[in-house]
Amino acid sequence: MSFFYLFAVLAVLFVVPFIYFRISTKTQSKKKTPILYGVVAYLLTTLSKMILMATFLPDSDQEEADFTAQFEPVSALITIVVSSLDVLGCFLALRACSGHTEVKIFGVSFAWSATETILSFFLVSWIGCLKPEFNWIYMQNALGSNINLLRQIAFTHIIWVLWKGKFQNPDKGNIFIWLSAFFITPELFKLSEVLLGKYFIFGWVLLVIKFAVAYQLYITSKKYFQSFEQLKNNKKKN
Amino acid sequence: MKYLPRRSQLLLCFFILTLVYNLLHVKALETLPVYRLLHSEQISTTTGKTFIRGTTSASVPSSQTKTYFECVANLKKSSATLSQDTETERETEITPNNEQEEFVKCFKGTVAVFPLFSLLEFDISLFSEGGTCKGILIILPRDLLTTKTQEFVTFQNEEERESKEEIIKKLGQIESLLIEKEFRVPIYFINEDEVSHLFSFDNLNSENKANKQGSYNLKIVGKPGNKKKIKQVSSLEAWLPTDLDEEGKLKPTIIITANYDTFSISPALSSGLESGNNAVGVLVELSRLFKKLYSNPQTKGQYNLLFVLNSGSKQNYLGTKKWISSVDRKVLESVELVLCLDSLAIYDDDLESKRNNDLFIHYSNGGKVEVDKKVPMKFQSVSKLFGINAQTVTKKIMKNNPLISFEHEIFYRKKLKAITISNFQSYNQTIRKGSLLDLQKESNTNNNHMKTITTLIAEFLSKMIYKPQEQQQPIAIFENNFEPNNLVIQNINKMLLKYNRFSPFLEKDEQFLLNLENTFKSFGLDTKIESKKISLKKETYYYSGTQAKLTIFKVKSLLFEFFVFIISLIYLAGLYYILNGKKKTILEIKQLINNRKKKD
Repeated sequence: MSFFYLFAVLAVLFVVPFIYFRISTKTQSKKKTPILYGVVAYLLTTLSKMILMATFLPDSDQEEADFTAQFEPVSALITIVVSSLDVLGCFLALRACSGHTEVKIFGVSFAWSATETILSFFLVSWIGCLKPEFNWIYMQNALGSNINLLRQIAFTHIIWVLWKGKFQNPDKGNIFIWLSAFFITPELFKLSEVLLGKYFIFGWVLLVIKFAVAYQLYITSKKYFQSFEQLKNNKKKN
Repeated sequence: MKYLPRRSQLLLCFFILTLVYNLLHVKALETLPVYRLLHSEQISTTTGKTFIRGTTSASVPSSQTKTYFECVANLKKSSATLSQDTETERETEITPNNEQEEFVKCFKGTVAVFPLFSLLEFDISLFSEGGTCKGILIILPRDLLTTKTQEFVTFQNEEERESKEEIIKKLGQIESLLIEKEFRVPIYFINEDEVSHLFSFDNLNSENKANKQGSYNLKIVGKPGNKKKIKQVSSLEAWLPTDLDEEGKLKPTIIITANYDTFSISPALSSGLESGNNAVGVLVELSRLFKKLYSNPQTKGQYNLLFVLNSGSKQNYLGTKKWISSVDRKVLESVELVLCLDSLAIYDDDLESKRNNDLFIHYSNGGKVEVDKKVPMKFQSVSKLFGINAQTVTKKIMKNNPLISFEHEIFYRKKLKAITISNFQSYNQTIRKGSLLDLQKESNTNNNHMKTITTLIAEFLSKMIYKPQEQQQPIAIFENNFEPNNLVIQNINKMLLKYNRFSPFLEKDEQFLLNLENTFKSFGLDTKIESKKISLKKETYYYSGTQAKLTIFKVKSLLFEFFVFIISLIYLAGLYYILNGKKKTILEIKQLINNRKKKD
C-alpha cells in the first residue's frame, strides 16, 4: 500500500479544475464573488434536491444491491425532475453575481464543479485509495469529475443563453432539448451500466462515451453562446 | 514521433496500446461464494455447560494469503540450513513439535489456504486458538473421489502410499475433529474451480508446485447467523392400498422407507446423495411401478404398500422415531415387513475394494422379534439373479444403547420385522455419516446401476407380495412397460442435488418436499406431508450464516502505483498543454527555465 495512488487520484480530482482556473483567470479579472455565489448555490440546490428525493423517491424493495435492480424507471424519472432544480440554482447564482459575462460563467461553473468534487469524491477517494486493495473505480471517479467540470461549463453557458435571451432566442426549442439532455444522460448512463454489466473494461469505455457526450454538449452550448453574443453585439452596433 | 519511420510509429502505437490494455485489464476485485464450517452449541442437561463446536468466527479481515506449500517449502529450507549448522553451533534437534510450531507460526497474520488433502499431513487442531491465523480457507478438489491422492506427498513420510479408502477414513476423522473441537478462527470451504486461476494445486508434488505466488489479499464478510435448533421434522407418506379383507380390516402392509436429509460439516454443502439419499429416487420409482401394477385388478397385490420419506436420519433417526410414534395403530398392527432403504450405491470407479456393486442386508436378531431368515435369504437369491453380491449383517440391539446404527432398529424396537438394505457394511463409515466427500455430481450418476438396484428391489417386493411358486426364477414383470425408468430416478437425484438438506435448517414447506409430494400425486398415490414438533432433552443449536462472500484482490506493487502516478501526471501535463495552447506552454516553460538560471 502506498500513497502514490492516492496522490494520483487527488491530482486528477483537483489539479484539472486548478488548470481551468489558472487559464481562465489569466485574461479575466480575478473576481471571487462568482465563486462564492457558485458554492452557496450548489450547497442550497443540493440540500433542496436531497429533501425532495427523500420525500418523493420510493424505497427500494431489494434488501441487498441486486445488480439487475439498480435501475428503476420511476426513481429515474423522479431523479430527472428533481435534478432540474440545478437550472434554478445556476440561474440564481449567475443573477446574483456581477462582473464580466465570461468571469461570471467561469466562476459559477468552476465553483459548482469544485464543490461537487470535494463533497462527493474527496472523502471516498481518500478512504478508498488508502485501502490495501487496488480498485480502478477511484481513478474512474476522478476522471468522471473532470468530465463533470466540462459538463458544468456547458450547462452554465446554456443557462446564461436562456436567461439573457429572455426566451426570445429563435433557437430556444433546440436549446431546451439540449438542456434536457443534461438531466437525461446521467440516468441513461446508469441504465447502460446495468444492462451491459459492470465489465471491467466497460467502465473505461463508458468514461470515454461520457466524455464524448459532455464534449458534444460543451461544443453545442458554446456555439449557442457565441451566436447569442454575436446577436447581442450586432444589436448594440445597430 | 513524426520523425520516426512509419513502421516504427505503428509499432510504438501498438506497444503503447498493448501496455494500456494490460494496465487497464488487470482484475482488481473478485467475489466468490464460500461455505462456512458448522458452528453448533450443545447444552448439557446435567451440568448446564455449553459445548461449542466448529468455528465460532464468521469474518476474515483483509489479509494476505499463505498456502500450505509455501510454508512447507519454508520449513524445508529452514531445516536444511539448520542441519548445515549442526556441525558448528546448534545443538537443538529438530523435533516434530518444533516443526509444528514453526509451521503454525508461518501462517500468523495471514489467511491459511489448504487443499483438502493437505489436512492429512498435519494436525488441524493446531489452528484452533484465535491468533494463529486470520482464517482458514480449505479448497475442495474438483473430483473429490477420483483425485489422485496416491501421488500426494506426505509431510512425514514421502514414500508411503496409502489406499484411497484409508485416506477417506482419515478425512472422515479430520471432519469429525473439525466439528467436535472449537475453532476460534473462521474456517471456510471453497471449490477448486472457483480459485483454480489463483491457487493451483494440480501437481501435488511440493517440489514442483504450480502454486501461483502473488500477493493476494482475502476478505470474507460473514454473518454469525441465527441460533437454530431442530423444531420439527417432516415426513412424506404415499399410501398404495389394496382391498380390505372380508371382515373389512386392513390386509398386511409392507412399509418401504428412505431418508431425504443429509449432513455435512459445512451445512451449505449438504446436497449430496451418497450418505443415504440416493434411495429416494429408487423409492419414488418403486411407488410408480407398483401403482401401475395395482391399477390392474389382475396384478393387484394383497398387500398395502406404504412409502415413507423421513428426515433427521443424521440426528439418530429423529424423523423416523417421531413418525413411527404417530402412525395409526391399525396400520402398525398390519405391518408384515419394513424395508428400509439406505445408501444403495457409491459412484466411484477408483475404489480398490470394488464395493460399489455389493449390498448388505442389515437386520437384528434376538429379543421378541425375529426376522424370518427367509426374508434376507430371499433378497440374497434375488440379488444373485442380477449379479449383485448381497451379504447379511446381523446385530444384536442393546436396549440401553440409544444409538441407532441403521433405520430398521427403530422398527425392531417397536416389535416390527424390518431389514435395511445398504451399500455400507458399517454404520460409521465416513461417507455414510455425511461427509464433504458426499458431493455427488450429476455426471457421476451411474444410471444403469441404479436401474438394476430398483429392478432388484422391485423383484424382491413382488416375490413378497405375489409369492410365486417358483422362487428361484425372476417373476419377469419388470420389463418392457414395467421396466424401471432411468429418467425418474435421474430427475429426482438432480432435483435433490440442488437443495441443501441439512435437517436443523429444513422447514415444513421445503420446495423439494413439495416437488416429491407432487411427484407421488402425479403417479396417483394418496400422499401427505406431516410435520411433527420436536422437543429434545439435549438441546443442540446450530448457527445459520453458512455462506459468505469472499473478496479476493491482488495487492498492487509499489512500482505499479508509481506508474499510475506518472501516467496521471502525464495526463495533467497533456491537458494543460491542450487547454493552454502550444505556444503559450512552450513560452511558460522557457520563462521557468530562465528564472531558474537567473537564480543560479
